[in-house]
Amino acid sequence: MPLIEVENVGKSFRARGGPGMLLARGGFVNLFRRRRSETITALQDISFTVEPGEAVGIIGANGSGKSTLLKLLAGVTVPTTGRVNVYGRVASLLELGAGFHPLLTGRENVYLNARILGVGPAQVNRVFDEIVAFSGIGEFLDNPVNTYSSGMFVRLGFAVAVHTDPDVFLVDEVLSVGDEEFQRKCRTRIGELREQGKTIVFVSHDLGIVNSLCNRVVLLSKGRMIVRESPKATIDFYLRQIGRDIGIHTFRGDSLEAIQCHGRVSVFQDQREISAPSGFQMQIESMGQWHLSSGGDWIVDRREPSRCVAHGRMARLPVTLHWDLRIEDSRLVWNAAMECDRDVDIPSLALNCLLPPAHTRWMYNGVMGLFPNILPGDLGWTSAVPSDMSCREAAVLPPENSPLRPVLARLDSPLPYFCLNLSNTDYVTGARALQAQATLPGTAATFAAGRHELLTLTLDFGQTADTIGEWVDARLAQRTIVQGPLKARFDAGRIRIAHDGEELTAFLHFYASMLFGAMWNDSTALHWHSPRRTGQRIEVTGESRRFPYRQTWEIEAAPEGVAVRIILHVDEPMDVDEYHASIVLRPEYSHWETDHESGAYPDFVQGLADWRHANRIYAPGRQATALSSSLPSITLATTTDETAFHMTAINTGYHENARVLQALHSPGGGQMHFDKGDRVYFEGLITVNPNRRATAPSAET
Amino acid sequence: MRRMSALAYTSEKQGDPWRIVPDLLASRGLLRDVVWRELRARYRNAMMGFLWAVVQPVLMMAILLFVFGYLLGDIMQARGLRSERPSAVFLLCGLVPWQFLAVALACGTHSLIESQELIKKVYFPREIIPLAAVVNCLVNFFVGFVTLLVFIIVRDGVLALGAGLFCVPFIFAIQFMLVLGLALLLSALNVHYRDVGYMVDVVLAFGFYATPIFYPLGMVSSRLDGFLFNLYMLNPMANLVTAYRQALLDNVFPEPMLLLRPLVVAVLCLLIGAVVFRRNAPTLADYL
Repeated sequence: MPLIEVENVGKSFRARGGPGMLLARGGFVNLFRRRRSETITALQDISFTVEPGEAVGIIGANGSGKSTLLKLLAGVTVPTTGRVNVYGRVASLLELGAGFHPLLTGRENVYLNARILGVGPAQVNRVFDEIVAFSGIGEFLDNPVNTYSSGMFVRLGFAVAVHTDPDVFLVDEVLSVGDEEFQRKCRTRIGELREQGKTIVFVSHDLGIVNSLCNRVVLLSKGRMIVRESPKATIDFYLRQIGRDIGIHTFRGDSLEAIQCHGRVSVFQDQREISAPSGFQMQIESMGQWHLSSGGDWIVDRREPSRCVAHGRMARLPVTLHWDLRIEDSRLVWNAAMECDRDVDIPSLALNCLLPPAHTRWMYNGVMGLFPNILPGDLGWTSAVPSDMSCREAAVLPPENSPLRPVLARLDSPLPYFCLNLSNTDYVTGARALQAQATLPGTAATFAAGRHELLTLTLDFGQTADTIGEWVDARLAQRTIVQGPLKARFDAGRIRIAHDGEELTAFLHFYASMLFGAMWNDSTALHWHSPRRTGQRIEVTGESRRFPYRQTWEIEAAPEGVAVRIILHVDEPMDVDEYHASIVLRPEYSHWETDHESGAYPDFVQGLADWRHANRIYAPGRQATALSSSLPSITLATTTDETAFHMTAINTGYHENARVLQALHSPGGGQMHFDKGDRVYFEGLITVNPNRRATAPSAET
Repeated sequence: MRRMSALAYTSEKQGDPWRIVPDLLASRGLLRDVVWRELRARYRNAMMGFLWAVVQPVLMMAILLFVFGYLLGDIMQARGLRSERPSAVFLLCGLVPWQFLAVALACGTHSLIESQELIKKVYFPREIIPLAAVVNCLVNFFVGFVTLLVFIIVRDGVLALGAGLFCVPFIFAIQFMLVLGLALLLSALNVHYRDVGYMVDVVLAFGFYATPIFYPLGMVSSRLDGFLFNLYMLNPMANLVTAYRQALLDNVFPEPMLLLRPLVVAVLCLLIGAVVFRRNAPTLADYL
């Protein structure tokens, strides 16, 4: 048996000049002349029923008759035609504190207001303490209500209304009053009532609440009922109707569905939302402020079943974002460009994909790991992995046996500054953030007027943890040279050397560095492209983000080791003080040998940050070897005579705790002038000899 | 289910006059609370509180006594209009019932508009509002009436009160019906035509002089000929005030016509008022 029956209800009002003007339209004069005055139709042919325990939402534009319908249900007024039947007591939360007498105390008003809602004092006594507790009025209970702040007034009214245990709740936009705290309390309370199986009729402009709270939604438009299917269908229809959908488009593939809603993208897989509630959006930093794409004014330019092209004008920046989103199979391809009206300083921008915290693992640059837990003390975002400028591929993975699928991201950008980052958000947001982020150096931070292509991010939702694992292996194999038990893997400006599964190098591994402008510029700081592999040979190029040079490393298998050739491409003439190529080794290496002498690495001096040379003779040479009692010996040798290298053995600082073999090229005072063009920077061999070991006492010189 | 059917609300039945009595019986608790609310609120911030209910009619009486007893009394006496000066008890006996009518009608007429916040938002029998306004004024009437009794006892002794006192409830019942009927009618009309409120003020001011308050009925009957006197006697308050005086001051049973005429008027007013009000009640919120 329904609790509320609305049958063919219509409601019209007489148009009036104003309330009770005797001589105006609708006054005595017209009454006597029997002239029918004009009428305004507020509602027409409304029919629906509400079963006990249902939550029905009523949405519609302003003036569509929502409040009139609610008034009819509340019995405040009666329909002109048709019938409204309500079998039960109604508490309308549309009159918070109605009937409060300002001169009476809060306590007296609680009883009075309950009485107006149809509840006697005996029943109020039972819940009086709860009412007081919920309202948070406390000591003001016995003060006259006119001394209350408007918030206290509304709180008390709400508390009385929800505690009178009616059969039907009518809720009309009450959630828009009071402070944030109270609004949350109201929402929670209404959610509780909903769970208790109370019947709720809910009028709101907040479609999010309507969607989450109601199991049926009635849309009113110009007094007529339009749709009454599922909440989602009704809300979609409503949005389209009022033109808010100008910035909204839903596009889908086989199992993947994405909604671009005013600069925010939410992704669904098999009807489940797989993005975090905050969705995916861009943020732009300018003048020390972050601007979110969801704060912009968005218009969808092209609506295709599996594609959405939209542009959004940022609210307080002379910037328009252009997005081209496509779903291809299980992939979401996101192309973003930026159009500047004039020159704008943008030191940093990012595309943030927030994913649910149920994802616990990450894959970053071919390495896998676990996200730290997000703790209540996390007020800001914390990085999950040290950011690597060269990282173009990352994934976020759920734990095993989770229904979630991993998300694999691939980034392409014409700008060299974009890379992928993985972070935890703050505790309140509580999400894993997969970011495509660019931090631009001061020289490049000004975007000229015009259009700039930013990035293409491909998010693959079709992978499994296994395929990502295989992919990682394959990706590692792509940059690894295997030579018997020896493995040399190129890793962003470093070469990691492992023998028989044990890594020999540490910290910076094999790397190169140039001193100019009083600064060492390491190869690890370059922006590295994906390696190209042909057989047992890898070629990879890295660009400097700050200076006009590039390096190409050619890594090739050689007997008992790998050959490395580093070519320097100079784009503008530059002066260099000195440069080197070095192997940083594990501290187990205890002895060294050069062409001219040999010795033991000294002990690390606690607190010492400088690197200390161990060798005495400083003459050009060809090779240096490090020896250990437990690890194979390793040799760094130059294979070209074009440039003279000093082969040295060095201890790093105390904290770095590593041994170094270095091939240093130094002009010995003055600077080297590099003209525009290519030059071989270093050419050499790294060889490993498992048979040579340091025998601690006898190797002493 | 029984509880629910007791609370069932059907929009079609809202304008049905037969439902007035059951509706009011069902919400008598609300009536009590609303009256109580008004009373508490009215006297809460007044330093003298309920004392005003006594002081007000007595002060009014003192003013009338001064004006008609001393200032104008000599002139009227000289012109032969009056045989004697009006006494305090005489004035008070006319003033207390009149004040009840005047205040109750003024409050009742505006009551719906003053409670519009409530009416626009909650469903309850609308009769409660004007009814509460009228019932509120009962307190003042009661206090004024006791003051009157005290004056009579002080002047003439306890024995002056007798059988006539027992007629007062009947006279008052007639007056109450009259006031309630008018309050219902006027308050409903006032929602649609705000002019009514102003007209009530004017008519009440006129009624004060068209009612034998500071002069005896005998003075009118001696000066107006038959038709005009009959017209004058159509004023129910002229009958009722005279009836009060006969019962309290002369200690006799009032002349039957003095009760019959206002009774007919009062019953008519109450019926018309209640039906008109009920017909308008369901849609009052639309016009507030």
